[in-house]
Parts: sequence; C-alpha cells; structure tokens
Amino acid sequence: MSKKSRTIEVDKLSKRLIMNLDACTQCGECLRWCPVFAQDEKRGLTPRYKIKALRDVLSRQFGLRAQLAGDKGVIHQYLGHHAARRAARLVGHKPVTEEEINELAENLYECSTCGQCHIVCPVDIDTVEVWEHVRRSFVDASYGPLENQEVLTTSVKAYDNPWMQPRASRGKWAKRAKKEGVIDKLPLDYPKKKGDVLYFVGCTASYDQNIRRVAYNSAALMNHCGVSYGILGPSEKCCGSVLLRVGDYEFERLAGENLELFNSLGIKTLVSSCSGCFKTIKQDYPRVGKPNFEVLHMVEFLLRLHEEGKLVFKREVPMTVTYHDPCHLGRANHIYDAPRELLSLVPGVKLVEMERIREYSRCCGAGGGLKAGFTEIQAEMSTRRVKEAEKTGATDFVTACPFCYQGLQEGIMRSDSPLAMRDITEIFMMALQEEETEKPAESEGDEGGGEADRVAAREARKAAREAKKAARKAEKTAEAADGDSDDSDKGPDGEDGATANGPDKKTADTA
Amino acid sequence: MNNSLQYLRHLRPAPIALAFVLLLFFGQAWPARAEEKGGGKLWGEKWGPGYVLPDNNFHGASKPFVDASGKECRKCHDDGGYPNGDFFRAEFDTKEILMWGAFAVSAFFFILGVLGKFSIWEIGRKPSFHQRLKGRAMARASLTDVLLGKKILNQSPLRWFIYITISWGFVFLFFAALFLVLMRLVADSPFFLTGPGAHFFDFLCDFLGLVVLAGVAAALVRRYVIRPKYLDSSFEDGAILVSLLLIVLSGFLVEALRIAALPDAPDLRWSFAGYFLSAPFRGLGLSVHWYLWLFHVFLSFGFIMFIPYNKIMHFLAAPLSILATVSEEAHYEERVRHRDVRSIDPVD
Repeated sequence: MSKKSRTIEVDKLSKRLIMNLDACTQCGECLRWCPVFAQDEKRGLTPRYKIKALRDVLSRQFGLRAQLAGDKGVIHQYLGHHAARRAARLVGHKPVTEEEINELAENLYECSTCGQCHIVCPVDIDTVEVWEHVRRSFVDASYGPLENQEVLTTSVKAYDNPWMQPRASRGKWAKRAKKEGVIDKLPLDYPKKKGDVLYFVGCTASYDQNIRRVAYNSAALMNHCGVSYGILGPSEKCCGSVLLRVGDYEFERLAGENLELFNSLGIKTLVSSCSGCFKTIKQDYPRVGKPNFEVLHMVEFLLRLHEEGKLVFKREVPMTVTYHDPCHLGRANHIYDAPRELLSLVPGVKLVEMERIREYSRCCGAGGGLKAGFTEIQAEMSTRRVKEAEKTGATDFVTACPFCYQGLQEGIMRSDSPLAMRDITEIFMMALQEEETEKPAESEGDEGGGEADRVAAREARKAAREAKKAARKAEKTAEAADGDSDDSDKGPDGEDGATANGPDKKTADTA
Repeated sequence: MNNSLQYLRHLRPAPIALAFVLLLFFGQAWPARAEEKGGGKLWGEKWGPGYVLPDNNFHGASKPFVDASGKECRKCHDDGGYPNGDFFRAEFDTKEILMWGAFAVSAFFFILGVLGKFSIWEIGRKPSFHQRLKGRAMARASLTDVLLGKKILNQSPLRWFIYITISWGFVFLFFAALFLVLMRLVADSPFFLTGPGAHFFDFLCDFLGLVVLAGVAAALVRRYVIRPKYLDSSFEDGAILVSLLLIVLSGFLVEALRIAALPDAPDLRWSFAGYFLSAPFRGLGLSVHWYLWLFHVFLSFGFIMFIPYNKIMHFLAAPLSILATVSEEAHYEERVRHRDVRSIDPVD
C-alpha cells in the first residue's frame, strides 16, 4: 500500500492564487509555449497538468470529503479512526500518496519560472506566483528543493552568494577593473560614503570571471556619464532570488536585511545590471518592506542618461545583433523597448529580431533553479534559443542579464555556434571607445568584430571544451577511486579556462 | 477557536446549501398558498407554486388552440404513453414535482461544491492583492478579456468561436429563461404568455440553442477530428462535450415532439428549429416527448450539479482570476509608464 503523504499546507498561497487554480480551463495553450516541455516532452511538467494535480491534492487534503472522512476530518475527530476509514470508503475519499507528491514536486521544480505560461494563459493565471508559492509549501513539507538546488540555497545562507565564494572578495572586481584600465575611477564605497545611486552588482557579475565584464562595463558607462554611484562591496549580499524561486522562506530574512541596508543608505536610485536581481528587488522586496528608493535596470538607467544628454554613442560599431529578452526583465517587468531603443542609438548596430521576442521570448532555461536541478534540459533550452538566434543571420547575440548570458553561452558552446555572446553594456562601451580613455571590457574569447577572430575564439572554446571533458573524465575516474569529488574550493578566479561558466559549475544557478 | 470545532469550520457549506434548497423546494411547493386559492381536483393544482413563484395560468399558453377548436384540452391530450395514461397529472403534477425535485438536488450539490471551493480558497493567506484594486483596468478587462475573449481570439479564432458560442449561448439562455419565468409565472404577463413577447422568446431561445449547438459541434470537431497536438482529451473533456450536445439536442427534440402533437398553427413557427424538426414526428403522440423530457431535465440538472466538481468551475473562477491578475498588473504597468516621467534625477 502506498504511503500517505505529509500535508502540503497551502496557506503559503494567497486566496487569489488558490482561486487561480480553479480558473484553469485545461485548454493546453501553455503546453504549446512551455520552453521546458519543448525539450522534455513530459506532460506532467506543463502548467496544465501541474495545476490539475495541485487541484487534486488540495481537494483531497482540504475538500469536503477530506473534511468529513479524512485523517483530520470530523468523523475521525468524533468517532475515531475506524469510522473515518469506513466513511472514506463510503464517500470515495482517497488520501494523497507519497509517490504522487514526489512526482508533483519533481514536475514543479522542472520549470524555469519564465512566465511564458502566464503570458499565454487565456484566463491570466498568475503561474509564476503560483509555482513559487507552491514550492514554498513543498519546502515546508520537506518535499523540496531538489538535491542539486539545495547546494545553492545552502551556499546563499552560508556565504551570502550561491557560488560558495568568500564575502570579502565580492567587491574585488572594481579594483581589478581599474587595474585593467576599464574604469578610471572607483565607485563610492557604500555604506561608508553617501551618494544617490547604488549599483547592485549581484552575485554572478561579482564573482564569475567571465560575467564580471558586465560589472566592468556598467561601472565604466556610469563613470562616463558622470554618475556618482557606489557599490556595497563586501557588504553586498545575494538579492535572495535563488531562495525565493526555489521556495526557501529564508528569503524573507535576507530580503529584510538587504532592504534595511538599502534604506539606510539614503540613495535615490538602485540600479542593477542583472535582470534577476532587478526583478527580485523591484517586485518581491516591497512584499517584505517598503523601499525608500526607486529600482531601475541598467538599460532603463542608461536610457534616462541618454535622454538627459549624458550618454551619446559616437563611434560606429558595425555589427548585426539579435537581442534576447531576459524573462525577468521582459515578461516580469514589461521592459522590452528600453534595450532596443538603446541599441538603435548605437551607430552601425543593426538589430535583427528573432522569431520569438518580447512577451514570447524563448527562455534560456537558466532561472528558477532549473539549471541546477536539470542541467541537461537547460543546456538544450539554451541551444534551442541559440539556433533561433543563428537563423536571424546576426553575428552577435545580445542580452541584458548576466545569468541569461551565462545560460546562452552554454548553448553557443554546445552547438559550436559562430555567434558571439555579449552583454548589452559591452556594445555601448564599444560605441564610446573613441572618446574614452577607458577601454571596453569584452567577453572572454571574443575580441569583437572580425570573422577571423571569431573563428579563433570558437576554436579556442572547442579546445577548452575538450580539455574540460578530459578533466571531467579524469575526475570521474578519481571519484571512482576515492568516492570524493569536492571541487568547491575553486577560487573566484579559478583556473577554469576560457569556458568558465561560473565559479562552480555544480552550483551554476541563480535567478 | 475550540480545537474540535475547527474541523467543522470547513463543513459550513453543507448546512448553508441545505437551508437554501429546503427554502427553494418547500417554498415553491408549499401547499397553503394553493389552498388559499381554492385548489383544484388535480394534485398539482393543490400543490401549486408557493412562496418562490406564485400560481400561474397553466392553460394560458394553449388558450389560442382551445379557443380555436372549442375542445377541452383533455380531448387532445389524453395520451396513453403518459404515466397512468393521464396527461394532466403528468404535465401538471409529475413534471412539476420531478423538475423541482431535480432542481433542488442539483442546487444542493452545486451550492455545496461551490461553497466547498470557497472554503478551500479561504485557506489562502492574506493579502491576496499586493496592489490597490484598479477598477478601470478591471472594467476594461471585463469587456475585452472576459466578455469578448480577445486573448483567445488572438490565439485561435476557432477556440474563440467555441468560447463565445457556448458561454454566451448559455448565458443568454439562462437570462432568457429567468426572464420568461418571471414574466409568465410571476407577472402573469399575457404579452409574454401568448403575445408577441412569447413569439420573440420562442425565436430567441431556439436561436441560442443553435448557437450553443454550433459551438459544441465545433469543440467536438476540434477535439476529436482536428486534434491539435497540444490538446489532450481526458474522459472528463469528452463527457462534458457529449453532455452538452445531448442537452441541446434533447431540448430541441422535446420541443419538436411537443409541437408535433399540437395542431399546426402560425404561432408555432416562431420556434423555428423545433417546428422544423417536428415534421417527421407528426402523429407520434406525446409519450416519447414525456420520456425525452425526463432525459433532458435530469441530464441538465445533473450537468449543473457536477459543475463545481470538474473543470467547468472555471466559468466562475476564470473571470475572477482575469480581473484579479489584471488589477495586480495594471498597477505595476502604470508604474512602468509613470517611470518615464523621470521625476528623480539620480545624477550629480
């Protein structure tokens, strides 16, 4: 006989979200659009089936029959266990089993929370909210997160970043950027100094040696425009997105601490170049406390600076690019035009659009804990997106989120694509170079421009990948020998080669 | 709250639903009022409608035929196929009791199910809304998304056709039926009993029935003939569509068989679908009509009864869900628009 499940307390969901479940018409539109389902054709992971299963679980736990004849029902309470069991048989009440819940938990976590299902849902079910809150209930009942995702949450709680990196090295990128000549002036050191703008760098751009360029370029652009901005350096903590997305309610603590710190700074604006951090601070923090500043994504901030005449792109950048809308910037925050407008301002840049853009942008799969929990699925998703980008004939693949950058770069390497991955700030820096003493920080392996360079970069990546494969093989052999394969002691600049996708591949996820 | 009483909290829907149904059933079939009116020989006349619906003129609708032929109703309607071979008892007593009985049972389980759903919704934490409710955005969405199904139209015109025909067909049919009950039974209005109002509603109800039929047929074709790749069909999906199809078809046939038993008259042609279908059934008598009527009534009320227990519950939850989400997002989008004002200068 199947073991009975622990109760999934849905009090983490608001009344509106529970009502949302009953609104599902089972039309299957979400099946059509779900980017995860496109790679793993498991019906159970699609919103339609998850909602149906959730409805079933709720009804069997809290429905009238359960209240009457269930384990905590009236009959059990007043007439005892045997009477309740007889009544359950009579009214056809079946308790939820452990297997059912485990299956639902797996399906629930096989999702990048990209929000595509919410966009296409004819009855506007707030799916991302539902998934995040149901995950929380599952975490409460110890059915989540998945093992691989737990590595991330544990790291956030212990190190304040999901990469298991020391707090002290968080702000080192700025000094390094100055040393490399990318920026000529260091950011203000918050909270010791005061200023109007806080640049929230985020974990990925702070620690990942490849993605760090995003921070370099963002800082250089703000310097160029004469913005007096500061960073928190070692005092900066993870925004908590990774906790929130997988349903860990430690998020409230972290968000509360962060918000208290931000509010104490007396800043007017918080700018983030990471779409995940931006979404979390802008949308989710106000549910924890009231911020006394505005939150902007770097593209919005730069557009504002341009409109104030402080940011003018003069140098021609002959480049055909295609832009990938990060889910947290686009679908979650409806910011589609700002990055496109900025790209159109760069002389020489030709923007060619992919088939699926804006609200219908195909997710790269890096968010929502999917990359950590289902690495292979994420890799396939990003490869699919890269293929879509290739079809446009673009030479460069641009995005405005370090984590999408990381995810898509995985796809580029996997599919051996000729595309060059770039963060949007990199393009802007190229357009400023002529009048700048600061030089643009470009992605590793891509020196920009020429086809020959690109071919060389591709070959370098290929070689690095092969080296990595060999290393993995060797690692496996070693594992087999001693059963221990801890690689978490890699430094923030660990010698990962040109293909480094994160300080620690095992924990490669945030949201 | 007392620990043992908290388990009863979720069972509140049961007594509420039961109280409502008892009021409905006994309020309707309360004998005292009919007796006040003097009653009649037939049981139905004695047990006439009570508090909910006042007594009505049973013979009103057939008055033109009675006047034209000069015969008593009984002479034409003494049909052997009826229970006990008694047309009047079946029409005015048995149908009355069965219909109100079926309605009461159906209403009981319907209300129980809906309140049961509400009790699950109630478990949710507060706040449900992180933003202030946005009335204007909700009103706009009520029109575009709820009433006109614009989002569905953008996705698939066929699905939009199915949505509009079935949902609006039933919504209008419901209100038409409600209006007729009020006019004929409560207001006792000759205009709606036998006059032009009756003709208009005869036409309207047949038209709406055909609209629903078209929608159901399209849904069946889409689900079982076109079979889009992403559309999964469960037993529930099929059962719902087949039930709808049978309800509409049996409704038309019940009407056709009734018309077939009546002397041909121009007034009947307003029920154009029933009139058209009645041709092959002329001379058949009313016995088939009786059994088909039973089928139609029990299937219809059975269908209503199961609404809260299957996916049709979305007819109640979906509009609420749309409005709630639109309100939440409208606030946010306005802030996005608002940000273009650039009220704060972050630059030194």
